[in-house]
Amino acid sequence: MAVALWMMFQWVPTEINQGSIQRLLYIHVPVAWVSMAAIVGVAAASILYLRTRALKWDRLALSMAEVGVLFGGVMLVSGMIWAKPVWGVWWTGEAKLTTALILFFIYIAYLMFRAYFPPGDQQMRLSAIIATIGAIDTPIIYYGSILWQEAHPPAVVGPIADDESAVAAQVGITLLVSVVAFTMLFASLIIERLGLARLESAVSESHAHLRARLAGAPH
Amino acid sequence: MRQNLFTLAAVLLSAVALASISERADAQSSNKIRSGVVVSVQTNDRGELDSFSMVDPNGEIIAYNVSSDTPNTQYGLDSDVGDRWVSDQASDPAEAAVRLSDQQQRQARITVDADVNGFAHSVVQAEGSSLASSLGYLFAAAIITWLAFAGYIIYMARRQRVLSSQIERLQKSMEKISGQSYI
Repeated sequence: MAVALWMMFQWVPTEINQGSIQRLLYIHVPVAWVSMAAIVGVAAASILYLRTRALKWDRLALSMAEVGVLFGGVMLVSGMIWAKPVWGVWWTGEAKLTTALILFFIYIAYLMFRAYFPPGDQQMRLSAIIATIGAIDTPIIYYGSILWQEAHPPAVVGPIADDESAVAAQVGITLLVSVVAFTMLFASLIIERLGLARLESAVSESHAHLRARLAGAPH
Repeated sequence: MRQNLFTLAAVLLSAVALASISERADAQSSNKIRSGVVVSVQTNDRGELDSFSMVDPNGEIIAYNVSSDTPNTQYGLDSDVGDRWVSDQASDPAEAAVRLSDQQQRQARITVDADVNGFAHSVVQAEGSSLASSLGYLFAAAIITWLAFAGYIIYMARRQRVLSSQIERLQKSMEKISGQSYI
């Protein structure tokens, strides 16, 4: 991450048209990629939970959703801060922005459901279904700039980038390093969150064990 | 007396509303020149520019048609290294499409002078821009990003401490109960 920060703020030259604000690309694009990948990960873990009923998949889905909502929030805020000087507005109701906002709400809905629905197998099953349906939003966001061609800039790298589009080598390398750095940050946060989820399970198991012991103690 | 005050207020409000409406109407009829960023470029089968759209500083997307007849759309667009390409739609419609796509990719601002029917008379590089001095926005975005991540890490660390102490307490309680049950 330190290398990525040095590259995005020091090494890569300032873009001629947008100036300094273009450097936000090296934060916005990686966090957008991670937040889209995370919801697919939540859906995959949820499907695995539905098939195997193994708690580890449910824990992974929950951890990915919680970290994913953080990345989703950063994606929206960084996008808005870029839009203000470039477009002149913080937000416009164009397709890619709206579908990205919907992704953020899907994460929120998933986490709210987990927080307010009584714990148990039904909670895990229903939240798994929400996540699986929510993942449909990801390809819509990704292809949004092609499908609607509105204000959001089109992809300049990756499979859907225009054949004629080419970014300067330094820009491409910095973007790649940033994507790797933010993906690693995501992975490390997931590992930490999984540890926390295991502790939460241990606490609730211990509570249940203690209750059972207390119920059996007078005999 | 009270009625008169209400009437006066209503007249004043109406006058202000009328003045603002007529001001906006005047602005709309005379203001054909707008600046913004290209958001889409449409070409025909031969790769010649047909039309394009632009997002203006109010976030409004405006569609423009180009013409090689009357008006013959004039172009004056810079490349990423600052070379200026000057031509018109009749002379080089394919190059116009390439140049506008380049503007779109670079998010470079253009200024379009168009008639009321949406036909662009001239498409030129926007003069002057405050984008180069947008360091404040970059700084704000970086601060918000790292505060969000740091906040989440602090939240997880605190939660971990709370859960660890809960487990410790529960283990002690279990040991106590186990001890009692053995007696």
